[in-house]
Amino acid sequence: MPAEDAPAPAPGAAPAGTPDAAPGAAPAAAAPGAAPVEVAAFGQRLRLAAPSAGFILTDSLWRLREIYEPALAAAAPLGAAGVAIDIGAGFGAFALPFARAFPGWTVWCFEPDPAAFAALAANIAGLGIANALALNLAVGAGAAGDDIAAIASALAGGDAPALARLAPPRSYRRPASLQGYLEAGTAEGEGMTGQSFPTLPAAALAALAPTLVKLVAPRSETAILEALAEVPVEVITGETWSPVAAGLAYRAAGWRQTWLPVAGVPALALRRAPDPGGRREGLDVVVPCHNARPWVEDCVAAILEGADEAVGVIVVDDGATDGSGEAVARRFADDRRVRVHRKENAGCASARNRGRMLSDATHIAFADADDLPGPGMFAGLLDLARYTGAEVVQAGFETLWAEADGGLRREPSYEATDWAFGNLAWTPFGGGEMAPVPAAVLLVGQPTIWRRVYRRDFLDARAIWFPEHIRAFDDQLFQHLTLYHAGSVPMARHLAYGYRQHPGQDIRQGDERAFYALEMFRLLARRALAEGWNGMGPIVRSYVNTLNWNWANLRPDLQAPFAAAAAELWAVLEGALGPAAFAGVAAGEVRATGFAPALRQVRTRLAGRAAGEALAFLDSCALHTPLVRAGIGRPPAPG
Amino acid sequence: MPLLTCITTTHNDGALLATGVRSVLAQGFADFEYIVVDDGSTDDTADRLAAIADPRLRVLRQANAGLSSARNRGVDHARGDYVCFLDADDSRPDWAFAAIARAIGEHAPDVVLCRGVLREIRGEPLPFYDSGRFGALADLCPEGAAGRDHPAAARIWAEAYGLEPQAASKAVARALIGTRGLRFPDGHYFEDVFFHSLALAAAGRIAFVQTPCFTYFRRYARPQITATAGERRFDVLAVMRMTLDAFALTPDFDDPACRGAVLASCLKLAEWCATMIARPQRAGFRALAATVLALADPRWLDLADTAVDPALLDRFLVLPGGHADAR
Repeated sequence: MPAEDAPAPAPGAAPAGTPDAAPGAAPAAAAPGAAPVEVAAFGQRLRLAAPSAGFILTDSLWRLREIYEPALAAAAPLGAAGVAIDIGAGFGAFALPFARAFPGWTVWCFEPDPAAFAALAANIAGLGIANALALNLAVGAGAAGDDIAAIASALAGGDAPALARLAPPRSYRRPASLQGYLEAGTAEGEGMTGQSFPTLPAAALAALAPTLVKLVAPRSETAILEALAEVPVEVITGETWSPVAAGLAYRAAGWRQTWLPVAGVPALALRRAPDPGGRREGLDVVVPCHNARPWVEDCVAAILEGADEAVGVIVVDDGATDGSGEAVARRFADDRRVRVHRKENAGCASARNRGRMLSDATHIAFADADDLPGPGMFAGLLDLARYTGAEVVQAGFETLWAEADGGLRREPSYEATDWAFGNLAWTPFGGGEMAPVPAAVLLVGQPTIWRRVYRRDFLDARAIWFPEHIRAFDDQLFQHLTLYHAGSVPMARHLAYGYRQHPGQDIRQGDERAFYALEMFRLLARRALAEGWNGMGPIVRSYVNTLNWNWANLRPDLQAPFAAAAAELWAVLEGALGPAAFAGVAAGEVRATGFAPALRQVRTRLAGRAAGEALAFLDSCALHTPLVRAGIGRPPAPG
Repeated sequence: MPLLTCITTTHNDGALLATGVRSVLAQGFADFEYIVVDDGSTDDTADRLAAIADPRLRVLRQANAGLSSARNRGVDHARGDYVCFLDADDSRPDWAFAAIARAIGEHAPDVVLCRGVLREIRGEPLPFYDSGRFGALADLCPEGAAGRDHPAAARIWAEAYGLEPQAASKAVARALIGTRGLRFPDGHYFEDVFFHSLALAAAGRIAFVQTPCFTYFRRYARPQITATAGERRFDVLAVMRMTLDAFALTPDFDDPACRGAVLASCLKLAEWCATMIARPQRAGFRALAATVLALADPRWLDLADTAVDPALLDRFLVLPGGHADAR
């Protein structure tokens, strides 16, 4: 997408000094090659001289309506006085209605292109807008040897001739294929035209003490935002031509409400807005830890790798008896980002919930103590969250297997070769690629809640917690609720979570804990009905997958009661969720021996009752792991 | 008497109340009064309001009676020539009142309708849902206002009925409210479509402001009252019934495009609710929706053009059978 307000001049046009401002009455006298156009924004209607290139004009007006007006409206109130700088001001489509609507503000306009600048200067003079000042300069990166003090002093004094003399010439280029687009850099190869414009080193902008910045400066965005890091800017909008580091909006001085879409990439826009809950803008990664001493320190170190102060770790020592909490506390004693919380043992769900209750951050994640997140994974996901605003963002994952020599073997997850992922609209982000993944794709996959980052306000408003009495498979409920309500999940596929495989994993024991999976699906059905979900198919598909996964290594004495309970729950779900939920699934897919006859039997008993959704309230001792373990409600085995 | 009265109702909005209040009191245009109706808040809202020292602000208190009742209370006490509304957790851009006042000064309309901004739940500031219709209105009515004698009046009114009914999008002449007895439907949410339709039916002249004058925030910190899966969704059917009955007695009802637009607005809202309400309530919701249409003037279904998508209409005319999920 071409830069706004950066029209193509005649080839070889020389950079101008201060052009003649065309004096006269409104409507503004047109500069050569310019035609008057009506610009309406911020409650103002102005007739402005505009360069003749039709596309650039349309694009400027589109941007005003689609980006700038909404961004400033959402940032209200801006207040009666302030200093705005408009970098890439063009003929003034943003700056001049803004200056009219905010007469108590000072508006500095920077425009390198001579033709656009001539129109801008003519418009200011023609309309008599006293609070707008225009300078025929680009703004960009500085260089050694720039006399910033002298330039800043000339700038603060609005001394255009001095600035034209002092501002160093820098290289810009125009690809012939993009009408009107101008970016920083030297021209290389075919189809690229080079030009040089006097360029204000961005560091000098601090002298103006801007409170609002409108930024259209392709390939100079990072330099400009870095130069403004110490300036308490309150509102930033515009566009960027590639994603800049999200920290430039979040680590800088001042409260900077930010709306910077990435041109041509609807999925990405750097955004920052006040959190009404007053939460710390950042991410806490909760690490539930029960006897994970061999791994937990590596896990914490991996979370913090590449992260700044925005990322914290809350290790919840869930009654560990191997000193893992103490080990973490010792190892990270000097790192304020790491907190260790000790509690009595109550299971993984309880530890995750406790960590969340201790967190004051806007974003939260849950990593397992025996796993190994890839380097920079959580820092990268926080950036992705700041570029998408999404309720849930995620990395990829891989399984880690211990080798006999002490090394790790890594296996990519099934997603790496899944066409549903390969076909997504991947776009460059953060040194790799991102794409929004439809929730439906993830809902039927493996529960992988640990490679995701969640918005805290989302989890709170939707009342999504880990059910603490469910001591295994609690993450299934969490997975379904978060994904269903999020709808789509931006994924960074160059980031990966290492999911360590070892014999001690809870869910591989084949004991009574398998029954937690059944209770979990009943709870899920109740929630889905009460919350009015549309599309229950993934619940049923996921139920089949979970039954088969559990069946594969279930203890023999538990197989008959498991098959019977699973069959009753199947019939309950049929009645409660309705036939549409079962459209893509056949009961024959369930591999548990004894499931089919048990299902026939329970269907016969339920026939003609038509309890409908109310069936989800039906419960059974056979769905409760502690009762199954105690033999409560279980008929004696025949014989 | 001030030119504008702005009415905000609040119920336990806490810190979010500052969003609306700050943006109103910071308006560049000064000739307005601001009424905040505290609808039975039990948190620190009263203290927060008491802490604001601004002579333009008047606070009215009532026991909790719902949004419609609170707005009506505000209207009863309004002194401005025009009345507008803003929810506590929404905001107005700095230029909003100036733009509305200019439209009033230039056109002396009965109703002013403004563009808005939607701050999405993921933080995107976007033109409001009805931006396209405002574009169509700008083409139909480049002069920015139309009376009943405008050559395109019928099309302009039909487009205006089809705008989002959102209360913040309009300023209504208080004289019109008084003489027609315009009110929000007490006791109900999804109230805006009733007020919107009847205000436009009563209006002899409408002005359009093509710059955004409010920002509607979707947020998790305070989900919209109307965004639950609960029984409150049934309110939409009660309001639809009242809207269809009242509008059928206005002259614009005779125009198929106008009544088509009003019906389409009602059905769109009701359909949205039908897909959001808890699943055990769905069959009852569908049945009641069909009942509302059965009770309405038969001419509501005598639609000459394509104002209402026939597939959508069918979902309301055919009574549900079997499991709600099968539909």
